[in-house]
Amino acid sequence: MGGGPDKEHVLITLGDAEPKHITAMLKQQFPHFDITYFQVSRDTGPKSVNAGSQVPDDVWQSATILLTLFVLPPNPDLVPNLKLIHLFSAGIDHWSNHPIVKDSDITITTVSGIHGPPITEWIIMTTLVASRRYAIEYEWQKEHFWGQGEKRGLVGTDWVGKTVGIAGYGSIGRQAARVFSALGANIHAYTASPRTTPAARRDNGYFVPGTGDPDGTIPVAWYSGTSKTSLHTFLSSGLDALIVALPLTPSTRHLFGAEEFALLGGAGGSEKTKLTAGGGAKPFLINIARGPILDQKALVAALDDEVLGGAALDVTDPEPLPKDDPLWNAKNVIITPHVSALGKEYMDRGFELFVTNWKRHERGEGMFNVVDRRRGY
Amino acid sequence: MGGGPPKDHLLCAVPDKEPKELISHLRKKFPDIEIVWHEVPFTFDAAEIKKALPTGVWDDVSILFTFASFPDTKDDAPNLEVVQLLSAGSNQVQKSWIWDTEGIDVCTASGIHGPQIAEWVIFTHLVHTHRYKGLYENQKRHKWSRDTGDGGERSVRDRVGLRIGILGYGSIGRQVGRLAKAMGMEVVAYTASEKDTPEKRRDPGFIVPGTGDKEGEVPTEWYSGLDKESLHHFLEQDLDWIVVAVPLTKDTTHFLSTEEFKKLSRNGRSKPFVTNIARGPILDQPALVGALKDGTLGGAALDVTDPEPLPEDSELWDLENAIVTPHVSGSLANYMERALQLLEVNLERRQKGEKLINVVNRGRGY
Repeated sequence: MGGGPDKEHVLITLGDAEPKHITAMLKQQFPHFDITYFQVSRDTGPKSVNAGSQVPDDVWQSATILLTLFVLPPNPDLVPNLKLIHLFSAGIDHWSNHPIVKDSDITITTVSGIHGPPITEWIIMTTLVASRRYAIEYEWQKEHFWGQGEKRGLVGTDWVGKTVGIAGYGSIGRQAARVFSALGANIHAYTASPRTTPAARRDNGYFVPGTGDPDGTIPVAWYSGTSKTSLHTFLSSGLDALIVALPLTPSTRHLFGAEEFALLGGAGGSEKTKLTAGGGAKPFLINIARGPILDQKALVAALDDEVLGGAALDVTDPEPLPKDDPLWNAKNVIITPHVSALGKEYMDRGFELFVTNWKRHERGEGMFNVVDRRRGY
Repeated sequence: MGGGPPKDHLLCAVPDKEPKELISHLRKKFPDIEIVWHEVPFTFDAAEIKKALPTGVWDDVSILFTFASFPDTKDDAPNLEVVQLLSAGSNQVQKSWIWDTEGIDVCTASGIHGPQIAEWVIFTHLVHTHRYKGLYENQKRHKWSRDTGDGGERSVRDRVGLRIGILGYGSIGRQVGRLAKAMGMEVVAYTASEKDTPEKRRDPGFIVPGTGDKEGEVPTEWYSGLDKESLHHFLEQDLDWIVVAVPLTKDTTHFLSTEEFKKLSRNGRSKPFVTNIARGPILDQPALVGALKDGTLGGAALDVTDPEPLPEDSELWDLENAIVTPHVSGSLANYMERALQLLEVNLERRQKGEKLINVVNRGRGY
């Protein structure tokens, strides 16, 4: 058979107006692409039911590649030619019951790997906002109050020599490790399967160049396992902070509950914390993954009873968090509305990752972030 | 071996209770040094400090460990040879007779502040770039909304690939550089004198283990000079963010003013962010306020102002794009532990007859 690659009918279903620089870039990278940009309704979101019905049937019918965020074809029969769905999110938990996921084996790739830098910035920002008592200084600034004497009450410690545990050592966890390590902290990594060799510790996934932990050399200790026991061993390893960076699957739902918070809080933190004057803060919890991974009621209790020193949450259960949810009033909590990954670079990076992936595919190589439907991510 | 008077007499005059374990460690390690600890008030007011110290306290002192407690005259402290300050700056001793006396080494605590100050530099910048003030206000109202009231949420972007200029690549600047690089930024260093060899780029001072940039490997570009032309050349290097970490000297007073902010902004083509953790007077403050108001600068984070405390009626307080904190970035609960680690290094060196670290170069002013 002669000629170049087959024509691909690329369908892009997103809520923004067509980013012309992107479609031009795609055409330039892949001249055999026939691109249809379908702007979906702006209020299409993760909860939108039947968002796929916005797109006419004949458009679905011809699509061979779909680039999308919140819109899936309502059922596999509508998309007989579809080979690849490239999703502009990292998680697919909200679609685990969708026919396309359950009843087809159309390849799905995610943009896992592009979130490392922005989410890590959010983690660092909120962790330091808490440990450096910024909220009080912010209120003082509003009052034009210098607080020369009062500021002595705000003095805390820094992260030098402290221990940060990262549950889920993927692209987000690795970038968080990179920055916390630069702050002088030690990292304990926790993964599903054991990583006992250098090869096993390497990051074989996609990550933003110049970031992350490609060789897996940052952690000073590695823990692994999917059993309660292995999780508890990790939680008892003397952590001053715990970052939850796991996917939400049936086995990670409510993974962290009262017992886990008690273990984390009761371990007393790292050796450094135990020995440092004025360093006795209880562990700080960060969740940038999915709200239901934590038992939220138990979290509120752990915060109010000061089992934990505080928490920074960009995800809650549910979202939006209702106005009267007790979490809002929990002690020492920072809550933001699922914004940590957002940024102007998000979509461009998501498209770049698709380009990288399709080139690998055309070369006969494996693509990054192919969803394993059995695993759930 | 015993007998004979102590070779050195160390007086610690600091605003803290004696940390018994840390001092006992020093006493064990240096049996030839008599160590005396006096807690003084947290102030630079000489009269107040004097009241807290017993008469004759200075008679035998050869090494002084302090923020701002100094003997009035040379006659009061005839044996003084080393003053180890607890601050990174030495401005508070520069008007004293000690500064004019050749035989006395004045050492700063430069090197112990890097980690905590760099933390402050990073998080206050991120508070700006991630619109945290608005998110915080929404949280107070139990409002689950990305709308922070000014459309700013659509302009959030991360720091990967952006350029940070570090004015003053000392211990604080180096730790900021280390963090910026970890975040994917390009680090552009600026120093007083040229650093064109690996030796010159090395950090000879005290470095808190696990931090800093000892070999000077982090920056991708280096610039230098104390004259306006050199400074302007640096400011024109497409910097998205500049961190001021130089000492305050006659050369650096009002180092950055209207013209400099304009150059930094590439004459309006960008809205850079300015962070100051050094000394307020390094920036021309009214010029800074103007640049923040008219959009020349995107924002600023200031832990130091001119003067301090910042007067209640200063325009800086209410600028939406300014973060002001009351000179807190260097404070640390275990500050004394680190300062004593540094003191220990210098006591070791003195014992061995070696040159001390962090000795102030009086000609330079730091």
